[in-house]
Amino acid sequence: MNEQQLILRLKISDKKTLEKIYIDNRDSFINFARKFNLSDNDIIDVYQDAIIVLQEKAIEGKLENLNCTISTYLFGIGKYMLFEKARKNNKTVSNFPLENEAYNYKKITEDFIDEEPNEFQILLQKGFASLGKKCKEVLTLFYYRGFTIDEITEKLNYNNKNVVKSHKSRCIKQLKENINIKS
Amino acid sequence: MEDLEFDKNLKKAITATERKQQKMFLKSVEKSIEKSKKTNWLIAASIATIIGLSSYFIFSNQVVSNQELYAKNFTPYENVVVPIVRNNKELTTKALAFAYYELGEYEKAIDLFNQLTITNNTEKATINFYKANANLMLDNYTNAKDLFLQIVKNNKKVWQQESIWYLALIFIKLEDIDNAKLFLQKLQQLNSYKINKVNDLLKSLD
Repeated sequence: MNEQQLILRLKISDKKTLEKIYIDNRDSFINFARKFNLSDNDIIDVYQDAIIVLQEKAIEGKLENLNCTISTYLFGIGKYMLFEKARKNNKTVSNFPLENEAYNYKKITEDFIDEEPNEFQILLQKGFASLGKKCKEVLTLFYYRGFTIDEITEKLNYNNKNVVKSHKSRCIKQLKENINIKS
Repeated sequence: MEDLEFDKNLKKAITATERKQQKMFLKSVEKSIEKSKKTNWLIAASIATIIGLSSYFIFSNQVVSNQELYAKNFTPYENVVVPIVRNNKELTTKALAFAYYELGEYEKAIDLFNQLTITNNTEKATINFYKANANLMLDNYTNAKDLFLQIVKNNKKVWQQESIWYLALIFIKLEDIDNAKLFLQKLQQLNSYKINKVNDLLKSLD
């Protein structure tokens, strides 16, 4: 499978592809990360987060014109996240040398690193967890994968987009009920 | 509620959920890598010293069996408490504590459980019951044991049998089989909560 095929498969959240990329790059990432003086658990934790960011960037379509290999991009993400982890653990590290990188990895990872969910989002997560499978699927496609109503209609074989629209509204109503929000 | 604001929050909530699922998947991949590396090491070691290895197996089998019994039988108690939330500005600490519990954020849940002002014994038992479960998920067995014991001693209405069940499991985990049996026999006499599992466990411990 060439790089373009890998990127396409990542974009559709193919688990086998994610696993392959994880396994192919794991050992070299761990060796590379040794210089950060972090524990093995921390290194693996960062590596997994970097893989998740990579997949999200593929979903957003940001990998389609990549001017380096997937591995280089993944290591760039991982390197920035290792810097951040070491900084948080109060290990003295210099600032991340952003200017030497082909991509702004700080910006690429900021949504992942900075976001602690607020209290309302915690409750929404709980409400979402108790929805049925179909509702979860529609809402995930819309809010996480960024599908339009038309794309969801096609992907899930609905007859027309109005059915998807009303289904989505019902799911949101149900979600609010699940957490007892009276709107 | 402004729809746009709600959408923004929901997008973040679903993103967090997806990330947790991806993380769980990657952890399982990692586990299988580590396991296969361990197996490879064992094969190499067996070539070096067959006698040493077989004694290792005998020893390790004995050590893990109670731990396996615990792992096989323990699941945290599902949240059945649903506090009312009037709107997103009036979130109660209790609602949030149980939300964290359901989402597996046990440290945060315990922190909020500790902040609650509790007015009666039944409510105290309920909060302690979930706090004990959260402690179990964090491998804090002594804290969990103390909380379950308080429930069994101090109130006779709620969470009695459930707490006895978890106490039995904790004693199995702590390799205190005599006490584990005592609690299981207590449940056997009551002949209701998880009775089949209780009987199976007692057989396994004999």
